[in-house]
Amino acid sequence: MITLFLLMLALFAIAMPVAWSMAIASTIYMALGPKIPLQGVVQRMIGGIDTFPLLAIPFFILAGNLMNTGGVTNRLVAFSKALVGHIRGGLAHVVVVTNMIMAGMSGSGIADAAGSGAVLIPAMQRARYSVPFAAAIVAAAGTIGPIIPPSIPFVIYGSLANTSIGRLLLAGAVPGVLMGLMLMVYICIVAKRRDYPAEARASRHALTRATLQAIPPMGMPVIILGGIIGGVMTPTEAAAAGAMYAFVLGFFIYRELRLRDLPKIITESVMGTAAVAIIISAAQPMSWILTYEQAPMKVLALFQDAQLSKGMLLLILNVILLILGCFMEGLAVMVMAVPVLMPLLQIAGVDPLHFGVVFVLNAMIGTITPPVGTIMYVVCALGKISIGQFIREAWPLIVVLILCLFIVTYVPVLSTWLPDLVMPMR
Amino acid sequence: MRAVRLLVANVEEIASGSLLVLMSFATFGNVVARYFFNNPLEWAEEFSRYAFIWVVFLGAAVCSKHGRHIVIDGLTLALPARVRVGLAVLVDVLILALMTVLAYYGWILTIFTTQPTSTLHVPMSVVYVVVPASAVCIALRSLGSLARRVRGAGRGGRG
Repeated sequence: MITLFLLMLALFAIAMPVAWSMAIASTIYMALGPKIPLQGVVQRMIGGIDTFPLLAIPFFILAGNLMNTGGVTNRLVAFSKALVGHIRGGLAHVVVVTNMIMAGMSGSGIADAAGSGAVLIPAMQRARYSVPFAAAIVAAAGTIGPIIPPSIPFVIYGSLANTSIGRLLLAGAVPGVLMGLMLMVYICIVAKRRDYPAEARASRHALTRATLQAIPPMGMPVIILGGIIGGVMTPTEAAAAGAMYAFVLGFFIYRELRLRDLPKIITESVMGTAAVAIIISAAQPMSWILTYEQAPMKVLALFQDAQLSKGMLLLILNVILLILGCFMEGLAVMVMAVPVLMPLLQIAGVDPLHFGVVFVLNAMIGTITPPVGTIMYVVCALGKISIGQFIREAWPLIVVLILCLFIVTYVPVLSTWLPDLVMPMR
Repeated sequence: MRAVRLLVANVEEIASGSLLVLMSFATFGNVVARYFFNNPLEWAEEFSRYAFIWVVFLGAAVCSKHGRHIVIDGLTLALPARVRVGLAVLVDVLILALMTVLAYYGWILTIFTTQPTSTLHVPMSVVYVVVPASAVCIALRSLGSLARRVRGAGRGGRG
């Protein structure tokens, strides 16, 4: 069992794709250990993605790619600039606000960071911000993407933990806004010390114009959340409706989407979907092995022997997950850890809804911590900086986000208030 | 002739892309049919679920082709180029082995799982066959990149 994990980590380290690393490790285990017919590996890989909720992933990705034609990003940046550009450190605030709005449209932090970074890192460089600082802000703001609904990680968590995806999506809204505000407070402090410039204040006329232009993209979260809350659609169907809306918006309203762009957008979406979902699929045999080896019971016994309080348990889990997040891909951690942890959380009386927000926020911090961090890789490539340069500017932001993680962990009402208000449990 | 060649070269992209579009319409169409016409499309959910499985596995082949699998390359990037090439060969060999296993056992599953699905009444084999099909595509891709590396003619796609 330990050998299995070491083998998987070794495969990660030699740059074997994450999905295949897990599939190879579990195939070897099944062939040598319990001697299970290897069809079982294939069967579990298929079974792991044969659930309707996961279909929200391709639709969220498709919607995001259809929206990301450049035109939408530019309009959102203009709107954010009119809102917060005049504060000292204006462009850094613009990054955060743009990402918070984009978070309401796409479900992926990488997409948000890549989209806003491509526009805003060069803009900040022209305004004489240091590039590593700009990249660090874009990365930290990108982690908000999957916290504010819609969100791909919440869909995955919900299907693993058997928790209402609609309620999970809503649960992220308040913590997501809190993250944004805390980042902006940090920016205010740094901007004052380094004397970063402010942009000119937008005239009332310009503000109105920018707002009007930014309204159509905001129909997206309205459709998705409205459809789910109103009970008209399941989250998966709402995601499909979002994709349709994105197409109508780009093609008929903004007229920036051309038919000949579609094959590329669709192939991009297929790849985006497969890259994520094949990891969920390949992690299934691994997750089965963990159950076969009675890992959930062992973990449970371990914690019961230790007589931990609920608060202590959450602290320990957070620390373990943060450390894992540095070295592993967050998704792989999620597929393996959630089934193992669920019985434990149930006995400790932790609300799976609340824990979902804690888990996803924790995993998002993992995307900007070295050595393994997908968003970190994206912004370093965008800004053409080394990971070392990135970290020198990013560590205080990581501290701010960890602080936010602890607030969300110990104030569960931040997560549960909104879903209980608009989608009470039946 | 050129069109045919283009079609064959991009068969995974075309198949997976079409399925993605079809499943979007099926899922959205179901909402419209249910909400406005009170007449849900019974087949829509099952169709979309199986189409998704196809999209994921064919998509995995597309990712291999374009080197888009999620890879943790922070560590190998720090190594000298020659070691890196050696590891890349190792990765290709291991992927080739894994895909052979997946293709073989996926095919066995395809042959033996013929019970019909619940609403579409097609044999489950139709779903399972995507595993051997994609595994063969990925295996061929790894073979190609191995051949290129052995000949030392530059670096190909990974995964």
